[in-house]
Amino acid sequence: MKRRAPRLRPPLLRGLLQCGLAALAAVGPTPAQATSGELEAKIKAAYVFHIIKFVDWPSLPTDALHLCVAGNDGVTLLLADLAGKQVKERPLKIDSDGSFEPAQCQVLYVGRPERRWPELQARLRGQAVLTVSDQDGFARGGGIVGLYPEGGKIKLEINPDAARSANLRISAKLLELARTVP
Amino acid sequence: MRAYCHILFLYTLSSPEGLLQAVIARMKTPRIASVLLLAPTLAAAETPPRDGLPLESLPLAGFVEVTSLEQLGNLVVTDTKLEQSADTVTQRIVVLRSEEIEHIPSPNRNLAELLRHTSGQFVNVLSRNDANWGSYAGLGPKYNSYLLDGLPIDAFVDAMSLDSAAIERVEVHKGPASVLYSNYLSMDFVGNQTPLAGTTNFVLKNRIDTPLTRFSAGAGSWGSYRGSAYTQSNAGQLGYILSAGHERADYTPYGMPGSWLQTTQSPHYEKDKFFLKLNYALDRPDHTLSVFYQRTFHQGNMGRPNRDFEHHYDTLNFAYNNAFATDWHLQFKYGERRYDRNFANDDYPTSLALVNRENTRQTIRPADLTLSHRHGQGAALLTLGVDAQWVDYETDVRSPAGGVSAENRAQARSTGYFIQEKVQLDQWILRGGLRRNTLQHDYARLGGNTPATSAASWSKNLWSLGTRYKLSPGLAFYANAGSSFMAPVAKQIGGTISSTNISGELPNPGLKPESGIGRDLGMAWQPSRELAIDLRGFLNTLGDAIVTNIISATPSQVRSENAGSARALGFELDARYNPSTTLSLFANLTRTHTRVKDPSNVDHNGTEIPFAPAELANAGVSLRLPGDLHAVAYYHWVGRYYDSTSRAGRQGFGHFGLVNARLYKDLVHNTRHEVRLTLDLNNLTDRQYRMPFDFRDPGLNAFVGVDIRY
Repeated sequence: MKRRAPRLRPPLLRGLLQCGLAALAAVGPTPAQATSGELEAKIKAAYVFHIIKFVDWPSLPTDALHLCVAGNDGVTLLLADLAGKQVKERPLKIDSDGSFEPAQCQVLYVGRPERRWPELQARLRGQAVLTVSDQDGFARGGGIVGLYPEGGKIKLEINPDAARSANLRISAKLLELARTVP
Repeated sequence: MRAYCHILFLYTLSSPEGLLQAVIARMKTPRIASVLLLAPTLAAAETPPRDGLPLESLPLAGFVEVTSLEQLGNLVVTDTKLEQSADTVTQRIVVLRSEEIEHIPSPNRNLAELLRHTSGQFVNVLSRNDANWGSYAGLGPKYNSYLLDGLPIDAFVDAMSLDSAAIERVEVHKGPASVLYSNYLSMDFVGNQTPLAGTTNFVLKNRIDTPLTRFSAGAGSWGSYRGSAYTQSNAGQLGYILSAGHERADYTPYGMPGSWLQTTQSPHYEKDKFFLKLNYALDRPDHTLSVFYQRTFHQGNMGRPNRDFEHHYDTLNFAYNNAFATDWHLQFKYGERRYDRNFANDDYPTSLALVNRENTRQTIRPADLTLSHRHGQGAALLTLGVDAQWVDYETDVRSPAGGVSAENRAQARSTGYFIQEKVQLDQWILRGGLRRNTLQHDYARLGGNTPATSAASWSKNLWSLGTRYKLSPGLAFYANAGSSFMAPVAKQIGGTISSTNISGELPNPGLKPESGIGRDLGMAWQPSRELAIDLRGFLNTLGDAIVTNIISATPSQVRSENAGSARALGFELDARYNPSTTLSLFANLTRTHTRVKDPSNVDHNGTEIPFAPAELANAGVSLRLPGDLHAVAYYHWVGRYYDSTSRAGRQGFGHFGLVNARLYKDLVHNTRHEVRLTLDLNNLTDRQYRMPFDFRDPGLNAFVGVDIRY
């Protein structure tokens, strides 16, 4: 078979390959990458934001949707960055100074080190407040949405009974990606 | 006495009805290690990173804009028609997301090329103007179906015409696909396609959180020029995408010298694509209407004065989704696929004068209604529904004098009822399903004649079973099995001749569909955050294989009959390693042993299944270099394969390796704009390898482009 002369000449090809090899030899990590812990916190905080879109409250205040934050860790610090973001057609208001009244929140994020969860849980009984946390066994213990690590990923578990008790409607889409716990 | 001589087992395993010549005339990439391990899908963000930062370094406010719940949850949809976590699927699913898609070399601009570097896939795109004539898991191209957002499309034609900019992700569903999807009833090209060996779902972009406009343009080898414009935005509850693109090239001769593809003048082609995607949230994000429409114009000539072509393709997908209660979800989908293809034919090498013009018109309308019910305290998912397809197929031949003769007039329709249950029990996932499928063919005209048989119908019951066991968070085992079938093509049933004194194909109204069973067994192992290994073995078998026998030499008459069987046994080994945020690597190996069993014909008995290479191997590297430079390189090895089951008549192909590379350089990167320079170098070692049907790859080619986003 007669071969067609290539449009790109071999010397150019060799040069490109050499450049590629040189680049391979020179490669090294670039600075300023997020650490694993920071990224994990960011993914958990992003989950909180996206989960809100898939929950229906019996009624919502017109001015803002209140996300209250209890505890002090990487996730709770990050959540403050979401202030003003639009969700469910209203801006997100972050209450993280510890002075909030839990029943006035639409969402309560409980940080991993927060020890007041049993007390907060008692005050929230019957209130339409979505509770989210990465504490171990949070959903099994009466919280609505728990974040847990598995296989190097962050996953969701949902307690449908707790959601019903809070008069919240969890979208089937959210249930489809979470595991449900009694 | 009839001389039974079995020919062309290839005919049913891999190729279409006898219009072959006419028919023919027609990674695992950059993975940001830590991000991927925490949420592998984050690499898929469509919106460009702000301030030149990689995705994981964005501030949270920006991070939530470029991610979604689907991405965070690493969801896939093909398994149950509802989004579920990938590790709850009993079958192995390989997911290619939009960012990866942008990085994968596609020398022929064919969606099938996105799959080339995944294990088990032999992607064999014959040219930029032709289809992918490959195979998957040891079986020919008819046994791996394609879906567009859950509705079937043609695995041959549509991959040539659909725009990758519309695709959010590709889910390669390996192994016997669930009973949830029907065959594609195409009567053109290779005819029916079935999801026996697997199915590939091209999932459309749905979520539009942020506005984005993108212009790209470029030029490359063979006088290739390409430009496109893309915009996405939202207004209230309405999200929309608009895209248009043009491409043209003086495409180098891609046929073997002296073959039917020989050129006498410079060939060229032009391709214009336009698509629109609308998504409207009625009252909740899980209660939506969506419409996708794409039109593609493809015209040019194949390098001879009377070998011009002009094709129009229309693709429509409509979807209604409603999670109307906590545990109930309703989906309705409807689609249209219109193919209008025109070719001019000459009599090369005898004469270059026009002989005739062929026009093929085919419209396929698939529809699907699915109801899903979560029960058992959320541990079980029941899926049930009905799907249907309606097909109109017409071909005409126009003589140089202008006379038109009707060659083919046929219709087909199918109805399927399906039910599937999937249960999670601690570390076990169990899946089982049933399908009842009925097909009806009506033939008014075949091969220019009124066929002796005007109708045929078949009903089949299909099943599918699967299980997955999670031994530990990083180790799971799975096994699946399922049945499928392939209906005969129109002319095999109805014949192309009505008299016993002329040449053509005789009817066989008693012809049965081919039946098949696919099985697989595999392991998914993630020993560390950086490393993932998958091993999958498969065994696919076909019974009642349809072969075409010579009945008479004078006149030349053939008839298709059920005879023989075939099996493909093999394994796929995949490894992915992401040692840092700047480097990721992957490699995979597929070995396949295939055999055709047809004791009545020693020439065919014991030969390999056509188009199924004995080995396939891939390796790739993705590097993020200093200075906003990104490089990806892929190596692809194809082992020996054949184009027929006849030892006497087959040709061997393969035994070649390919290197493709892409380089990116971000010239501008700020909060409002991104300007990126790209360089594609395909077939770096200039392997002008032969392909079946006298095609060959034109070898080394380059393309330089610029991409502007804001």
